[in-house]
Amino acid sequence: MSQAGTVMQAQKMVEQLREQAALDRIKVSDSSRDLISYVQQNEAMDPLVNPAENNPFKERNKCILL
Amino acid sequence: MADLEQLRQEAENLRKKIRDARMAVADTSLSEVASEVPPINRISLRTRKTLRGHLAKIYAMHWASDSRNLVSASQDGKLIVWDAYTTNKIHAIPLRSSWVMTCAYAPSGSFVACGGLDNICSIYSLKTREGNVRVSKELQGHTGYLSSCRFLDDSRILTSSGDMSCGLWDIEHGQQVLGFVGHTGDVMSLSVGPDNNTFVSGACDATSKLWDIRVVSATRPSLDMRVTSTPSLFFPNGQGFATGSDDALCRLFDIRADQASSHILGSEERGRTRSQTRRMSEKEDETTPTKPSVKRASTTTQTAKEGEEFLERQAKQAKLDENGDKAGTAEATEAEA
Repeated sequence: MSQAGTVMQAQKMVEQLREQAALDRIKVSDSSRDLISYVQQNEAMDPLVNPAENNPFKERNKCILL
Repeated sequence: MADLEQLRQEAENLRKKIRDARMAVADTSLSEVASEVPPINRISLRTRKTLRGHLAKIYAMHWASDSRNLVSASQDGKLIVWDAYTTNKIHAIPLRSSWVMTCAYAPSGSFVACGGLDNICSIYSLKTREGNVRVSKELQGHTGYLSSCRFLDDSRILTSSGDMSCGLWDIEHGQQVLGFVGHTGDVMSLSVGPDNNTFVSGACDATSKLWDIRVVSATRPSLDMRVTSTPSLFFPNGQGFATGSDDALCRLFDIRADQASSHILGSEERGRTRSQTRRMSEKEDETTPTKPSVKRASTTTQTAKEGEEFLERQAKQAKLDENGDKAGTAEATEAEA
């Protein structure tokens, strides 16, 4: 019976929403600060911000004198 | 039997509760918190390598974990595995179906996967005893096109499909182990979190869903998006993910605050943007100036690997926009040293 199916769906939806409502949310300010400090800590390793000396994609000097 | 009307009412109450809870923690925005951060220097991008060989539009590419090899999939019916340092082709794999839309490189480097309009995720073994590349498994079960796939390890792969579901597959037995159902539109992309236990999916129903592989139902479904959401990408520490959208905005979602913490305008004209996490120091309202060769969102990247992937995608897109459907090329770009 489609009625039973819809009720089941509704029950599942309610369960899902209950779980979501019960989540612990932290403040955007705290979370943003964490994100920012993570980015700043890893800035040195980011090859776009701090290009590495030995970039493997760069063309090496190809002149070979025999 | 519970009353349907009662359940509907309860659902509505819960939704309101969730909205209120989100607003309660929205005490600021990322750009406000980042306003004190000094800006970074302009990043200049240079094409370092051009990988030529495909004969038609390239739909997807994926870097290997060594950030040296990569696999690309083209609708000329080939998967090509490249050595990006030398531009040599390591493998050229003919596909049974040329309508490929996605490809993936296993973290171990031993397998690649692809799929598309054939609704099948095909796994190819690169390290067979005989030395040749062959199909090791064909994962059938999706009733819609394969839009994206990502290996968790050599024995498990996640897929997203136009049939509005995602799947977790046991490769050895060729079976789907878990189905992630809930989206009401084609699922276009997925990105696995750094802990390999969660992934985010973006779909044409204007939502992104965050799933926990250990618990089948979505842990954080329906994070609020406005329009069709396509690409999605996890932030490297797992605390957030970014999405690109048909409303020309890239959004950064903060998982712990359960909401979008910032968005940037990717391109002046309306259109699909590529997903990208946002550099903390850039102001929210500034449209990042774009260079001629990079038309889409040009904010910077989080990790080297993801960054290279993103740049490759961008450069390819730019190239495709210039050349239309003619011979496709893959370009690896890298910041100027």
